[in-house]
Amino acid sequence: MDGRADRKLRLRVLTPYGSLCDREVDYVIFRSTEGDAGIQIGHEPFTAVLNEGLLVYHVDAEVHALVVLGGVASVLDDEVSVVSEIAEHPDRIERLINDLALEKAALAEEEKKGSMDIQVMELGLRRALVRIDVSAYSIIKGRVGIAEFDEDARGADDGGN
Amino acid sequence: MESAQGLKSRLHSISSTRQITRSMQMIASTKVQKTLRRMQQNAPYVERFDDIIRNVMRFAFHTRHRYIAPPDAGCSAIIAVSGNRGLCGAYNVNVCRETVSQIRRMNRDVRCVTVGRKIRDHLGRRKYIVERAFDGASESPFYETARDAGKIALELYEKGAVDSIFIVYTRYESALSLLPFTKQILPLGVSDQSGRDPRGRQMSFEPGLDDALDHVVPLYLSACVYGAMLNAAACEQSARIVSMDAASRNCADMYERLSLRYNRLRQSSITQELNEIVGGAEALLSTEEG
Repeated sequence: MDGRADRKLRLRVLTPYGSLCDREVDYVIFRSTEGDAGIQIGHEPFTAVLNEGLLVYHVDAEVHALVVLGGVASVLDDEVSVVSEIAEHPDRIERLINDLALEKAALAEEEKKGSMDIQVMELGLRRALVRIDVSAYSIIKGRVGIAEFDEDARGADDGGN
Repeated sequence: MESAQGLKSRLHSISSTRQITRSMQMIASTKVQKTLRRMQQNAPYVERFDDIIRNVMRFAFHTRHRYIAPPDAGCSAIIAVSGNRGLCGAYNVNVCRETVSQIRRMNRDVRCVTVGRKIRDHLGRRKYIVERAFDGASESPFYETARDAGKIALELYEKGAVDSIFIVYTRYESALSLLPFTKQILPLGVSDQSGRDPRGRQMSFEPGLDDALDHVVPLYLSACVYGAMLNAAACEQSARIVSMDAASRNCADMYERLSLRYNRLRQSSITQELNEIVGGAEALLSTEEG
């Protein structure tokens, strides 16, 4: 026995606005550009570029998730570090997406005076997908709205202070 | 000799100035708390990114990627961060001086990206090339500004116009220790630990090492610039607190000295008037007796 069952991974998820997660976990799954990667204790040194998607981690019998929109994951000495410009809890991201879609739709309506635009339709589609499942983030291509997320996060940060 | 009216006017002016400096000190104290909180929230992100880059270099020192071994361009890029406003002691002067001395030490062409008006004006006056100036956010930095500033420097690097990128900013050590500091971002440095893993392991990369570096380095650059901007903002406010505190104390000293002079002047004029009245009364008395 190498005592692996007793050992845990250290997971750190960091954004420019603060730490989202810093705790001991049993198992981590994140979405790299090459596909989903699962990390357990004793994993070899590993660096991955992250895609938009869910980061799932297991603590005892519980499963937790975070939405990570790009970034880098590094695994070394039983420590998983994820640094990402935008990462959030799924419920918060869903709210941000909804707000964004509403805002964009209102803006488009004002600017186009009622004329339907492909971008607006696309946003509507994405919003519907997000409502179905948060992991639909992987479908969001071209990072539409990321700047707006960032702005919102910044506003929340400033407002929180 | 100054008139009582003149002194009174000066006293009034000093009192107003003291109110302004005190208010500025209080505002700076509030802002520095807020900025320090943001800086503390951001610090683990930058530190972790530094660790990731260090680890990647430990395992990937052999690669000839352009971010590690660029072709010689004879020119460097500097991202310099200063304040927009004065009234913060030597803060702006120190960072301007550090930037210029860094440029002189390099002894080669330099293209600058500036964040903050003071450094833009300083470098502009000395005819250095300022590729782009960001003036809006020295006191309350935004990540987007950091990303844009990093992007411009990185574009120069990618085009082969520069072969290294530095950041010059003021690092916040403590309220009284604000040190101008230069950090090299690119090319990525090969550390003493390079190639040495105690357990002889190899690191795997997804996608490959070169592609991973292509993705990681722009994020790393943005992280470093944002961290530098937050440090600089905290330093600016901290320097302003010290500077405004000194100004308030000087105002108080000056007010006290002038008050003393004014009171003496007032007292002497009262004494003179009393003397004149007493003298006049005595003269009247002697006339009546005579």
